[in-house]
Order: sequence, then structure tokens, then C-alpha cells
Amino acid sequence: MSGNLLDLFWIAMWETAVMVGISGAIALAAGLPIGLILVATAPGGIFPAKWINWPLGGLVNAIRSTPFIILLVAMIPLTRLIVGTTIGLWAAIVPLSIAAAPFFARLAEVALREVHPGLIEAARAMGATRAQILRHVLLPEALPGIVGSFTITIVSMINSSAMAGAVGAGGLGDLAMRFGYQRFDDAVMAQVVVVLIAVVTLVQWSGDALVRRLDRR
Amino acid sequence: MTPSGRGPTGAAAAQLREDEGMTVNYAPPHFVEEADTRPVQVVFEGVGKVYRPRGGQEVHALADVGFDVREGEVFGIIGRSGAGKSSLIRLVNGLERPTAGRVRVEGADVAALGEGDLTALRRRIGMIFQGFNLLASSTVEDNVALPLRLAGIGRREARRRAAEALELVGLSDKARAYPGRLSGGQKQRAGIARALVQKPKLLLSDEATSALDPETTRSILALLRDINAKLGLTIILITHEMEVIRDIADRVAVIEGGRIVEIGPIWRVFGNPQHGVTRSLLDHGAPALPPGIAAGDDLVFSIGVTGEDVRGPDLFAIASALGPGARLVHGNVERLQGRPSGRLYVTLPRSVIEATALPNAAEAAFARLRAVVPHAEIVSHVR
Repeated sequence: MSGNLLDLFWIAMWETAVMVGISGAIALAAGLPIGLILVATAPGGIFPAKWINWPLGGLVNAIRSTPFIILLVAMIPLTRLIVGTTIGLWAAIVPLSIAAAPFFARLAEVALREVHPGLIEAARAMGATRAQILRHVLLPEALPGIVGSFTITIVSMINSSAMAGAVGAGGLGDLAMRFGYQRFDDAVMAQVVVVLIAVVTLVQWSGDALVRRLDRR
Repeated sequence: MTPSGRGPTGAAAAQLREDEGMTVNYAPPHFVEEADTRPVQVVFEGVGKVYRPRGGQEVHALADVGFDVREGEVFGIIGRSGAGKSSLIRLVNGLERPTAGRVRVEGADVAALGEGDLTALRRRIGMIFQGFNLLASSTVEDNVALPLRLAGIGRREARRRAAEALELVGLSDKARAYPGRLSGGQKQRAGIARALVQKPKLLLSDEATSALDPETTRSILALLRDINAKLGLTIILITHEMEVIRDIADRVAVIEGGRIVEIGPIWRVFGNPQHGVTRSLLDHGAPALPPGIAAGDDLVFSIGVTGEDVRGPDLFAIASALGPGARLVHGNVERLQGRPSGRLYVTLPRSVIEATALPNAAEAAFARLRAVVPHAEIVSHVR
């Protein structure tokens, strides 16, 4: 591999890391509260509120059912509004975050819903407020599941970030597209795929290791 | 004893009269009934609970439930699954609300309390569960400290008091363990420590031993009994196991179809059950008549030992009523709350009956027996 190509590799990896890292952090910060709200406001939840649950659930479903490449384009006006540009790394971070947050929210919701209802009842019986139930029961008990969900979200974002080339954000996927698909350079494409497999394996392995540490069952 | 107007005759009766004149010094150790002067702690007043599932049929979980529980008492509620026990116990700490009537705890109507007062009340009521309901993500110590942490007590003080509670239940050595590493009995001990850490006046036990093996059940019940005696803690427990009630309760309410069908001190409910449900719940503990005796040619009398007479059944009166040939063939008598409880089976050979040459000799023998022991039945068929 030429020095020039190696540089391209490093740059692409860095771009992917930044894109997924920042969007992942945003997805975590936005998705977890959404997941909590979905669980809490569901019928029979600790704060049942259909008027919150239904619209929020609907919005989450709407975003999740839109293909990412379409979301990427459809979000352009919003992206311009938020980051002031529609191309480059930051332009990809906005749609990537918006796609990942509801994805993670649904997975976190499932993890939170699996907390045994007996634990919530026990907490109520000992005089816990609803906020305390969220903080002291639901979150700590669902933490291993939430970490597992976040790992899946990150892997899925690495996948989606390949399409970010469409808005000139670069990254590993973009490298593979330009060299492998457009220039028929199978070697580069294969190398990128190998790197992606390695990265995804590492992410999944780290996530699993963390879950094992957290899970005391 | 014997109902008036049906007094026994003969030597047995003379003996009986003498006995009645004697002073009875057998005060039962924890006999709780109308004479109980301890303050009332929990009152159910005409309580009903109806569930209205969306689009489904109304379910009447409880109807017209009324009783009270006194301070320091162990009050058992028994019924088959679906009888309404779970709903009943959850009304006490406001986990559920009645749709009719009132539940008062320490004078306050639970359903009428605001959120702040309800939280305060719940902190004075401990609760333990069939499934233990411990946080898997916290150590035993942190689980036990949780109610204190929720009440705003600092970590250090909460840990100290959690250690005290763990000491009380004999689980100090597992303080740093996670619940996943504990046996069922240890988990329930942790649950009890958590329920007691706020020094409540009242403990609610929701089938707390139903997931445990018999030996562990006995040790947990002994612990509860001990805590009841040591701390003067009132315990309301629900269960479907008669053994649990027998081991620990002072009084029992039998619930069926959402209604209380029988209530009283356990010696009376066990010794002389009035309702079919109570009898069927009791049945698998009672000594059944061995088939050899039941199928034999002798007349078999079954004598219920019901505890009204703390001294136990008068064997001389029984023998005198039946006459020569009477034999005690099977039975058991145990002490419940200091009172005898059980069943005796006595036979009379048919040859003895026939030797009298009287047409109603068997009936006459039975009538004499009934006169001295009111809870006697004739088991075998009179030919």
C-alpha cells in the first residue's frame, strides 16, 4: 500500500471515529431520556400519559422507518440550520444523530421494560417517589441491557456512516465507495472491509465485556 | 364444653361435673380474641375492590371485607390463588385503592392520603415478597440501605443501619455479596432486613415463604416470629399454605371469592373449621383414617378435638359413653396456641353392639358419645 493511500486510510478512520463518536454521544444523551419517557408514560407505567407516549412513539417509528440515505437528504434544511453547512463531517453528524437516537431509544426502552415489575412495586412499597424509581431502580437494573443496546447502536452507526460520503463527510465507507466501487480497485475495498470488520468486532467485544462486568444476576 | 340441656349421664357425667367445678389454670400463651385490649392498628371497613379491565368483564376481587388487626399481632390471611389475598394486602400500604369502603392504618384512611403522607406511611410499613424483589445490580448491603437512601439519609448512616438490620436477620457475612449469589432463604432474609431497616410498626408479608423449601420456610417463619416478639412488630401475612398460618399466626382470616368466610384465633379455626374452604385447605394436614380401619367391621367414631376445653378430650368420659370394647385406633392431638387440636378415631366392635340385642344400640352409643364430646361423628355405616 502506498504512503499516500495509507494516509487516506488514517484520515478515513479518524473521520469515521469522529462522526460515530460525536453522533453516538448525542444519540446516547437524547435516546436514553426518550427510552425512559416511553417506558414511564406507557399504559401501566409509573407515569402513564397516553398523550406523550403516542406522539413520541410515533415520531420514533417514523424516523426509524425512513432509510438513512433518504433521511440524510431530507435533513439538509435542518442540518443547515443547526451547523450552518450541508457538506462535510458536521453535516453528517446531524442526520446520523437523528437516525441513531430513536434507534437507541427503542432498544433502551426494551431493556428498561424488562426490569421486573416486582422491583418497582417493592420500591413503591418502601416509599420511593416516581423520580427515585427511575433513578434507583429502573436505570441501575437495566444498565447491562442499556449498554448492550448502545453497543448495537454504535455498530449500526458505523454501518450508516458509510453513506455519509454522499454529503462529503468522508470516512471508511466513503473510501471504499470511491476506490472500490467507482475506481474498481478491489484491493482497497477489501482492505476497508477488513478494517471495518475489525472495528466492529472490537466495539462489540468491548461492549460485551462491559455488560459482563455490570451484570450481577 | 358440653352444651347445656344435653348433659351427660352416669359416671362420666359425674366426673364431668366435678371437672367443671375445678379452676382451670391453663392460660393459653398467646390467645388473642375479643378480650384483646391491644390498640387497633389496621382496620378494614366494608372494603370492596372491583377491577375494570378495558373491554373486559368486571372482576370483583374483594367484597364487603371487614376486620381489624391489633398492634403486635400476627394476622394471617389464607385463601386459594385468585381468592383476593394479594389485593387485600396491597390496600394496607396503598399500592392499590379500594373501590368501596375504607382501610385505616393508625387511624388514617390510606386511600385519602396525599402523596407526601402516603410516602411517610409507607416508610412506617415494611413489605416482603414471594419473589424477594431485590435489586440484582446492588449488593445486599446497598439493597437493605435503599429505603434509607430514598428517605434522604446519608450513605454512611444508611450503611450502619443496614448492617444492624442484617445482623438482626443473621446475614451479616453476606453484606457485600450480590443477591444473585444468595440462596432463596438468604434472599428472603435480605428482603426482611430491607423491610425492617426503617424500624416499621407493621410488616406485610406477601407469600414470603411460598418460593422456599419446607425447611427454609420454617427458618424464615421462626425469624418472623422472633422479630414479632422482640420488636413488637405487627405482621399481616398472606399465604395459601396452612402450615405457615399454623406456625406463626395468632389469628387467621379465610378468604374465598373475595369474601372473608371465616375468621378467628387459629386454635378455633383449625380445631373446628366451619367453612368448606377452610376444611379443604386444612385437609392435607389432617390424619386420614387408615383404609384398613375404615373398611373393617367395627363401628368407627371420629372425635374432633377442637380446643374449647384447654385440657383436651376426656378419655374417661369417652370410654364410659361407649362402654366396654372401645378402642383408640388412630389420631393425633397437638397444641395450637396452648390448646389441644386434632382428631381421634375410636372403634367399638360390632359384636359388642349386637350383644346388647337392642335395635338402636349403635345410635344410642353415638348419642352418649355426642353428649360428652360435641364434635363427634360416626364414620362407618350402621347396618
